[in-house]
Amino acid sequence: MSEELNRQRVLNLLATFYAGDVEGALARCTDDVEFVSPAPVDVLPHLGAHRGKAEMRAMWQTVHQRYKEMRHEVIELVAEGDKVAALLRLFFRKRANDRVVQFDLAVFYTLRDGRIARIHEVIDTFDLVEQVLERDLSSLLTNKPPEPT
Amino acid sequence: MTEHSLWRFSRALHRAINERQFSEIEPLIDEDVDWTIHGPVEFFHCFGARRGRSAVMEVIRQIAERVRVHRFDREAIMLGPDQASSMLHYSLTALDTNKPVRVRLAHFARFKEGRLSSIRIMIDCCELVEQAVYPPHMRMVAVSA
Repeated sequence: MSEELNRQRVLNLLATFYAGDVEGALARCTDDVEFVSPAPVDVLPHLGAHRGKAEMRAMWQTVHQRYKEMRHEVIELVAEGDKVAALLRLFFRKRANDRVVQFDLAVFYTLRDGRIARIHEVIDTFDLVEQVLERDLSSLLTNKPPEPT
Repeated sequence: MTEHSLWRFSRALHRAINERQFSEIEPLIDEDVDWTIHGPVEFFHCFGARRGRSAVMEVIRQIAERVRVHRFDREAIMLGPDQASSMLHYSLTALDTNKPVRVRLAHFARFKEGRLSSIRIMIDCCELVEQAVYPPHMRMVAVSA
């Protein structure tokens, strides 16, 4: 029963956040919410580790400032006890040049008293950095000519 | 209480990688399995999407030829009736260089009648490429070139 509720709570958080409502998403988190998304912070400085609503607000506002027309698809959702894991497919359109970044994201949520208390992400960071920089890093690293686009 | 399919599959996978005992894992994979490891296939040929048991067995053999698992720590795990998801840290040894490699990954698996029917594995690939292919200073030189 609590698992079904927690599944729905995570779905509600996702729907609220990707609709652009940062304050609505924060209202679904605990005051001491923890966020961890290991990533190369020289390229993606807003990721990394954050704690508390103020840091989460700043990080989520940065995401919304960089991207528009954010869309998500839930590919998998597994719930057990106070934990929910989601595999998401995300589509973000860059405000700078209208290009779309598409990537899959694994997110592990821990809930406390009906609110999100911990968010831990795992991303294929290589693919994400390539799309953010719009550079074919594989070709650069292997000294091969990039694939024609 | 019946053991969840994930545990049998996990034990068999680690035996396949470390001991090259493939007979245990093969019957735990559905004939029509859908398997994806997200990551750059230019560096790791065993990454990418595969369909079917024989293609997946080939990938497992490729992994066994490249790495040995020293230890793994499950940071999170969720089990559903026919589903499982974990976030893990692996300590591996790359067999060609004998170098240690630490990798963080998440998986989402589905089982049908006790056999793996689909799995998607997400890996922090920047971390992996830096360790297994290029050290960080080489990466920065290449990117800024």
